[in-house]
Amino acid sequence: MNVSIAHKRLNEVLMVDSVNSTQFDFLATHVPFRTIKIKHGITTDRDNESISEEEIYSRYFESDDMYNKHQFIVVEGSSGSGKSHFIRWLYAKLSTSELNKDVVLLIKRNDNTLKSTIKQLLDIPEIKNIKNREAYERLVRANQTISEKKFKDSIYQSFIVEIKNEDKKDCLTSVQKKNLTTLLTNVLFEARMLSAGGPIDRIFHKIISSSGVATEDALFHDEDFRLDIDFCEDLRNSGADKKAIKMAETLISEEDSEMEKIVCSYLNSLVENVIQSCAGIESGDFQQIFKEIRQELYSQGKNLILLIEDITAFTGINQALLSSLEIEHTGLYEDEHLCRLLSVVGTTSEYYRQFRDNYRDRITMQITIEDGAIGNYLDDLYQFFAKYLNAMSLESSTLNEWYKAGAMNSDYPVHRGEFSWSESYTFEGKKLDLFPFTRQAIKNLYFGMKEHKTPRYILRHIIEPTVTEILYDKKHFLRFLCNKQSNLNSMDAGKIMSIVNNMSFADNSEDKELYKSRALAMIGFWGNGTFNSDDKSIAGIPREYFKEFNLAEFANSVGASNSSVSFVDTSSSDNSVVKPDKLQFPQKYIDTEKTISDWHYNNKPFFSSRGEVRDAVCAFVFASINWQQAGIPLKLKESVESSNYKLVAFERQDRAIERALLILKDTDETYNVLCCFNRWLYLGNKSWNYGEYCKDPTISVGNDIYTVTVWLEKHKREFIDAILGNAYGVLPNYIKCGMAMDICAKLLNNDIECHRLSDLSVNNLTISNKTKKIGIGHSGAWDDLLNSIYDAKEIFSVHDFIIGCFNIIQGVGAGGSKCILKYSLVDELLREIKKNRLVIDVSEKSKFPAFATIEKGYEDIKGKLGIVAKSELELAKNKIRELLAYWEFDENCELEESDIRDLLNDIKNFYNEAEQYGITVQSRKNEAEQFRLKAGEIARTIKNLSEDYTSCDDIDIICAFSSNPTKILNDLIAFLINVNNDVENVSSRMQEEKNAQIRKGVWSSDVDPRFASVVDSFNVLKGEM
Amino acid sequence: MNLAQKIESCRILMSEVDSNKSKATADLKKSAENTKFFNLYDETISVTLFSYVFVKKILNYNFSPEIQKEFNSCVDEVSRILDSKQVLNIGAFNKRIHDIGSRITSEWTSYSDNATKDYIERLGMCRMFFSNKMEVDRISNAIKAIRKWPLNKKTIEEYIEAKGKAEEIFSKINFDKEVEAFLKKIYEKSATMLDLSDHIINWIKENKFEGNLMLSIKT
Repeated sequence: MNVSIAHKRLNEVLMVDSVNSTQFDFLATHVPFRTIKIKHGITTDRDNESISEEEIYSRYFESDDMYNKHQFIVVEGSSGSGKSHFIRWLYAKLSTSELNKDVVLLIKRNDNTLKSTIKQLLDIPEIKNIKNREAYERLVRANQTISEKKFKDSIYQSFIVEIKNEDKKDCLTSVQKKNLTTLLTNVLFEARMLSAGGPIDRIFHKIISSSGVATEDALFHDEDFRLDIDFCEDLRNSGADKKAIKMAETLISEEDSEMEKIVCSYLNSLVENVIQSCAGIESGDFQQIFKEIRQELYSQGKNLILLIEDITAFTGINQALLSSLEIEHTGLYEDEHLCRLLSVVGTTSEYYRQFRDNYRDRITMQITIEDGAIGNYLDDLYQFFAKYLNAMSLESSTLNEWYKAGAMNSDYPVHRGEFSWSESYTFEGKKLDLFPFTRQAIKNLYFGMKEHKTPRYILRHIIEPTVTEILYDKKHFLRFLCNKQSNLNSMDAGKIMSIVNNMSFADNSEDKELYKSRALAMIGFWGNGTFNSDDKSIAGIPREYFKEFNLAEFANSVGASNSSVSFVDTSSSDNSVVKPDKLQFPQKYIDTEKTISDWHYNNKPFFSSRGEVRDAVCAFVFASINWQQAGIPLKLKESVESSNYKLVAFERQDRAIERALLILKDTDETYNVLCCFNRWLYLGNKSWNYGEYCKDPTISVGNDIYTVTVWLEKHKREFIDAILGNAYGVLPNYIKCGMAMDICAKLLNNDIECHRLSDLSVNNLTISNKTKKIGIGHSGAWDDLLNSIYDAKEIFSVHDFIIGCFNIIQGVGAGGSKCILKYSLVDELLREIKKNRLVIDVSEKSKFPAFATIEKGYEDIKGKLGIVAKSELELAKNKIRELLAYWEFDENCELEESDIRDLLNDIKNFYNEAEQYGITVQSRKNEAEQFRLKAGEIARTIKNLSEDYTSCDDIDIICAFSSNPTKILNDLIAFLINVNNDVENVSSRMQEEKNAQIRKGVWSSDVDPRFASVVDSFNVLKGEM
Repeated sequence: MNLAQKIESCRILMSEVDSNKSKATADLKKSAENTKFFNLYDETISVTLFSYVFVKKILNYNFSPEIQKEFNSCVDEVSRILDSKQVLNIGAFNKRIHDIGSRITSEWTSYSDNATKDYIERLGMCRMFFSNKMEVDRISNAIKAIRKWPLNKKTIEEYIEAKGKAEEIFSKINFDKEVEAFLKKIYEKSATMLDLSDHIINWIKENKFEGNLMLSIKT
C-alpha cells in the first residue's frame, strides 16, 4: 500500500455507494459477480437459476431476441449487498455499447428526489422538444420561493390534515388518531418534530432537493416518537390538552411498547400523499410526463433503458413510477406510440416484499443478489480486498488513463508493495499487494462478521478502519479490533496476556492494557488460530508484521520453539551480577522501604503518605480474585472498589484507618507483602519486571510473585468476607434490604401480583419499576407510602443496583443493556428473604453511606407496612359493608354469585323496560352485563376480603391486596350508586306523572284511587276520636 | 327497601303510568270535584281530626257540645264520601268545614291561653333569676306553641316536655305567696323599697339572689 497516495485517495475509493464513485475507480475495484440468482417472472414455479453477470448481460441486454421486448427487471437484495454495484456495472456496459438506438438513463440514489427525477428525465437530450416541457419545468421550480419555515409548517400541517381525512382502520383506533392529532398540534411536540434533522426536516429536503443531496429516507423513524417522562412532565406543566398528554403517555408506556412503531408506521403510510400534495405534483403528473417522454423517443425511433439504483428511497413517487414502468409499448398500448422500455430497478428485499404482489404479473425478471455472494469464493474475496487496496494506492490520473484506454484487465495498473514480505494476490498475472492484510486476516475478519456480509459492510467495517489506522494511528494498529471477539482459545489468550504482563512499560498501565489487546487482536485475527511460533513467524504471521505494527517487543518476548511459548526474561539477559551499591534505586522506593521497615521493626505508625503501596495492594486484590466465582457479584465488588473506603489498612496506620474494611496486622507476612509491592511499584514501574534491579541478588521477581500469590490465597476468604460486610446469609444485608425494598415497591405499585409472599418468584424481581399508580382504589396510607417511595426516586436506582448485583458479567465489559442473572444466587436470596418474612436485621448498618441509605430506606418502608395493611383491611371492610347495603345484607351475610347475578338481571330489565316505555335515562345495560360476567370474581373477592386476616402478617396482607382486589368492588359500588340514582329519579318522575294522570281523571279503574289511599288513615283517626 | 325492591316498585310504576297513557277517556269534571275534596281533606280535615285526637288523648281536652256536634256531622259526611267514593256538592261542604275550623280555632285559643297563662307568667319571673335564660325562653316558647291550632304530634310532645321542665324550675326557685306577689310587682316594674319586707330579704339571702337585684331612683 502506498501510504502517501492512500491519504488522498482513501475516501474517494471507499465511497460506499458505488454510483457515486468515479467510473475509473468503479471499474478498478469491480469484482465480477460469479453467481447471481435470476427468476423469470415471479409467478412462475421455475427454480432459480444461478448465472454470472456477464451471462445476464449477454442474454437480456445484448440478445437480438430480447431487444424489442418490454422488460421490467427488479434487482433485489439486502442493504449493501451490491445491487447498486451491479446496476452501475450494467450502466457502464450499456454506455459503451454500440446500441445507439437506446437512451440509457441512470437515476442515482442520492439524486432520486421527486423533482430531481423529473428534472433528469427532462434533461435527456433526445426529448428537448417534448410537448408541455415548459409546464413540466414550472412544476419542478414550484415551491422554490416559499421560505423554509413556511414550507416545513405546511408539510407538518399536511400530516394533520391527512390524519383527519383518511379512514384506515388497521393501524390506530379513531380515539388514538384524535389523540395523535392533538399531540401533533401541541407546540412542544411540534418543535420536536420540526427540529433540525427531525422527520419534517428530512421530508422537506426530499421535496425541495432537485440537486441530489437528500441522502436520508424521507420517513419517520421509531425514535422520533421515543418520548421520556420529562417530556410528558413538560407537557403537563405547559397545560397541554389531555388528549395530547394521553398520547404521549401511551408512547412512553412500557405496556404499550409497540406504540411508537405503530404510530411511526401509520405516519409513514401518509408520507407519499403528503409529499405529493406539498410538492404540488400528483401521481398522474408523473405518469403523464413519462408517457410523453416515451412518445417523443418513439417518434425519433429510439428506445429507453432506465436504470434506477434504489426505488426504496423514491418516497413520494414510488407507486407512480412503478405504474409507469409496467406499461408496455405493444398490445393494449400499441396505439399510444410509446418507445420500448427496459427498466432495471434496484430495491431492498424488505421494500420489494411490500410491492411485489401488486406487480406480480408485470415483473419480467427478478434478480437476487444475496448476502455473502462475494464470500462464496475466497478468491473473489481476496481480489475484492486487493483491488480496493491497489486502487487507493494509485493516483487517480493513472486509473483515469487506464479507463480512457478501454479499461482492459490486461492493462490493469498495479502499485508496487512497500514490503517484500507482505502477501499479495495475483490478478491477470500481476501481483496486487494485500498489505496490511494477509489472506488469513481477510478470511478471519470476513467470517467474523456476524451479519451483513455485503461489499458495503466489508468496506465500512473492515477495510476502512484498518487502512485508517495504518494511515493515521499506526502506533496503535488494531486498536479498532480491541473489543472484538476473536477465535483465540482462552489458554492461548492467557499466554499472550501473561507475556505482555511481564513486559515493562515506560508509561502508565493504560498503554499496557491497550498493548495487550492489540497483541491479542493481532494473533486472534491475523493469526492461524494457533499460538505456535518459530524464528520466522508467530501464529503463522511473519515476524516482520509485528515489527511493522509496533508489536516488536511482544514478538521478541515470544520464543522460537515450535509448539510452546517461552518467557524471555529480558531483564536477565545479562547474567553478570552487579553489586547492589552500584545500582541507583529510586528515591521513592528507598523512602517507602524505610517507612515499612520502621513500621514493622520499630513499631512506628504506618504513614498514610505511603498510600500508593496500600493502593497497589488493594488494586492487586481486587484484580486478582475471581469474585464471581467466589459468589460476589461484580456490581457489588465495583461498588465497594469505587467507594471512599479502602479494602485494607495497616495496623497503626496514622490516618483513615476507620475507613478500611480489613486491617492487616503487623506481621512478618504483611511486611514481606508490603516490600513486594514496593518493588512492584517503584522498581518494576507497576510490573513484575524489575529490569536491571534484578541484578541485585536480594531481589527476585519469582520470589515476589510467589510471596504475594501465596499471601492472597491464604487471605482470600477474609477479603471476600470484608466485601460482604454485614452479611448474615448469602449476601450483605443492604442487598437483602434493597431486594425487599424493591419487592415492597412492586407490590404496592401493583406491578406484581401474588396472593401470598410464598408465591413470589425470581421473575417478579426482574420487572423494571414502572410509573407509580396512585388513586386506583387503595387506601390513603397505601398511596402515601407508595408516594414516599417513588418521590424519593431511589427505588429505580435500587432496582438497577440489585439486578446489577446478580448480573453475570461476561468478558471484560460491563456495559450492555442485557443482563444474565445468576439465578441460583437470586433464588437463594429470595428464599431467605421470604423465609424471614422480609424481616432483616439492620441494627448493624453498612459502613458505606450509599448502602446504609438502602438499609434505612427499607427500615422506613417496613415500619409503615403495618399501618398500610391495617388501613387497607379497614377500607375493604367498609367497601364490603357499603356493597352489602344494596341487598340489605348485614356484614355476616355471605353475598353469593347468584345474588349478584339476580340484582344485575333486575337492573338490566329495569333499563330494558325504561327504554321500552321511552323514559329518558342513560342506559347502563352494557355495564350491568360486564359486571354480571364478573359476578363469580366479585363474589370470590368479597369472600377473600372477608376472610379473617388476624393470623396473617403485614406482608401477607400487602400481598393479598397487591392485585388491588377492592378495585372491582369500587367499580361495582360506583355502578350501583348510579343505578340507584337512576331508579329513584325514574320513580320520582313516574310518581309525579301518575299523580298528574290521577288529577286528570286517568285512573287504572273506574274509581278515583285517591279514595282508597285515604280511607284507612281516616278510619283510624275517626275511631280514636 | 333494598335496590331490587326499589327497582321492582319502579318497574310497576312505569308499567302503570304507561298503561294509563293508553286510556282513551277521562272524567275531568268528576276528577276536579274529587281534587277539591282531597285538597280540603289534606289541608284541613285530616289535620283538624289529627289535632283533636291528640289533644283529647293527651290533654284531655274536649270540644264544646255545639262544636262537637257539628264536627261529628262533618266527619260523618267525610265517611259517607269515602264510602260512596262520590263527592257531591263540594262547595257547601267546603264552607261547612271552614266555618267549623274557625270556631274550633277560636275555642282552642281561648282554652289554651288560660291553660298556659300561669306557666308563662311564672316562667317570666323565674327568668329574672335564672342564669340560663335561653333555656327558660325555649321552654316558654314550647308552651306558647300549643296555642296555635291545628296542632301536630311534635308540638304536643314538646309542650308536655316543656311543662315538665317548667315545674322543675319552679321547684328550684322556692317562693311562697308573698314572694310571688313581690316578684310579680318586679315583673310588672311596680315594686318599691317598701315591698322589701324581712321575709322577702331573707328569701333573697337564702337563694343568694343579692347580686341579681339592684336599686334605682325613679324621678
